[in-house]
Amino acid sequence: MATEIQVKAKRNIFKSDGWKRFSKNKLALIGLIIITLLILMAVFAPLIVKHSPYISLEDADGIVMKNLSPKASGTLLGTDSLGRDIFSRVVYAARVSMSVGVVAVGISTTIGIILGAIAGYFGKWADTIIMRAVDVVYCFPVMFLVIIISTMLKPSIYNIMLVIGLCNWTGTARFVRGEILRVRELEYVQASVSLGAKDGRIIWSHIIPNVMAPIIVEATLQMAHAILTEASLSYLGVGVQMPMASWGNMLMDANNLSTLTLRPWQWVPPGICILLAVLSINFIGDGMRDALDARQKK
Amino acid sequence: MGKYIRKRLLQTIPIVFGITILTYFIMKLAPGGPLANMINPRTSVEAINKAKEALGLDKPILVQYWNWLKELFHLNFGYSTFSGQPVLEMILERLPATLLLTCTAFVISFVIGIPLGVYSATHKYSAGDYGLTIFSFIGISIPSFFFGMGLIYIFAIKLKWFPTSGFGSASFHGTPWQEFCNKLRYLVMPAAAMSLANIATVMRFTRSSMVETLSQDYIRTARAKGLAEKAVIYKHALKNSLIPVITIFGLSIPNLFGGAYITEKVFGWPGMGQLGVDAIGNRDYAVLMGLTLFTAVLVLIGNLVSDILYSFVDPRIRY
Repeated sequence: MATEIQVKAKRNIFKSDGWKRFSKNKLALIGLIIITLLILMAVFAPLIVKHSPYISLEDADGIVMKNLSPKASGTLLGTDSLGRDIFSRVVYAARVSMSVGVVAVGISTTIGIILGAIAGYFGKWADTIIMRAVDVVYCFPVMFLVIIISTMLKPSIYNIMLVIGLCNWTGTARFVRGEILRVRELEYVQASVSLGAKDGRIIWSHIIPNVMAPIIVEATLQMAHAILTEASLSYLGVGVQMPMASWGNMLMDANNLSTLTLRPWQWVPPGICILLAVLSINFIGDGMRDALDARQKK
Repeated sequence: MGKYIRKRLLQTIPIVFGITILTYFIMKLAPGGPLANMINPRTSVEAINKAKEALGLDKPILVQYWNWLKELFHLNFGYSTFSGQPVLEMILERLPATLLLTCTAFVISFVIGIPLGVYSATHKYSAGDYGLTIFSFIGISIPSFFFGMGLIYIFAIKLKWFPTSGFGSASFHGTPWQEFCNKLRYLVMPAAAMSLANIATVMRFTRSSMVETLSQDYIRTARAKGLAEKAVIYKHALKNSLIPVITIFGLSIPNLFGGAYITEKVFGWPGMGQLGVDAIGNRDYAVLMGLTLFTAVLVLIGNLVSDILYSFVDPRIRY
């Protein structure tokens, strides 16, 4: 069954039942369009912006153009407190958010799949130990763990990816374990067991491909969460550090009463970008879940 | 019943140990260790060794852990590496403000979330349901600091309805009612910022649970015997569909406390979150660890209570 689905997907994904159901979901399509635009923005950042995000702009007299509104500075979104172009920074920050989202979820999903598979497949003491570990990590608010570890490490974008990835695997592990417990008892798995296939082969070639779809949905929703966590960390000052731009640290930079009151162009655009990115990924994840869940067919 | 509670309590013991082990070894990751703030380049090696001996740092790590654990059971969470104050004292001092904020947010999210979820479920696929769905997506997607900054901009700066930040000045004197109203004005915006995501979660949970309940046979029976739609929904369906919503009690506790860092920073609310933000600034790992341990135990208790509550309401899950 697994190979049949894969072949079908290779033939034409746009003709599959899943896609048909997904494309009926307007919110999911809107999400897909927005996230595609944001990814394009991140990839082609140097081609889009006019000014470097790290250079303070100067006017004709050589005076730094600090805190200027879009109108006064002649740029799309104005300048920040150091005279840097806000639009350039917002565009470059998309690279940070997108890459943190992808890498962090890559790490957490990998850990989650491996530990979940071991716990679910081998059971007994392996299951007990891993699931108790999940219970323990689960008790710590993820935000707290991430904050503490990133306070201790040297703040860099790679450490942020690592920390978010290392703290977010519990959900995936629980979920994969449950799926494997279910699939393990199905006839085709029993068949390959009786044919003498090795454990590793059964897990990798027979079980994982069949639970991959819900794992991808889970990973998508996790990605929205990871982007939000990165923004929060950067807002608290333990995430991505200046001068590198991140939507979160742009908001931290603007978090004083005078900027809040007088210079909305410094904090509204990055905030809206976070909202759009997280919202559209959530739309997509939800759309995929509905499309894959045959029970929810209207 | 008693058997289930006993079993559930026994299960938490290894988790408590796990929490202490994880906390202890994360603390060991801290650069410089507990001596970092005491050492300067002129400190002699002898003095360092003496300080290490005094703190028991020359012993094997398992012995150190055991000593730390013994202190913990005497409610000694250690001392702030920045101010030297006992950590537990610092946390307890800030606890009331955070509890006031989180409990308010908690109550708001259920009081608003449940009715919205019921409306959504009973008006499935209507324009209202669609609008609420989009609202709930925005609720879980918007960063709370951005939402909070927006609230401050609109309601404090432009409309001047609420103060921008703080907890209410201690110098304010009036009748108890006036003082209460004064506090309330400070509480409204942080509580709103904190509860938005939770309202959305409660709403979606209630909606899907209610939709499922409404398709059950006993609902059809209730309708078939001619009960008014109101009675069907509020008497028969609502009670049963609220059972799964109890799990959110446990689930939302870590999110609310984690969110306290952000919300309290945005609104200058003097709670545990603010203590944590200050500790980040001072690199005060003892306070950060104390906060984490304290919160983890609160979360554990919250989960325990929600599980036990669940077993009271739904006898089927007692195993």
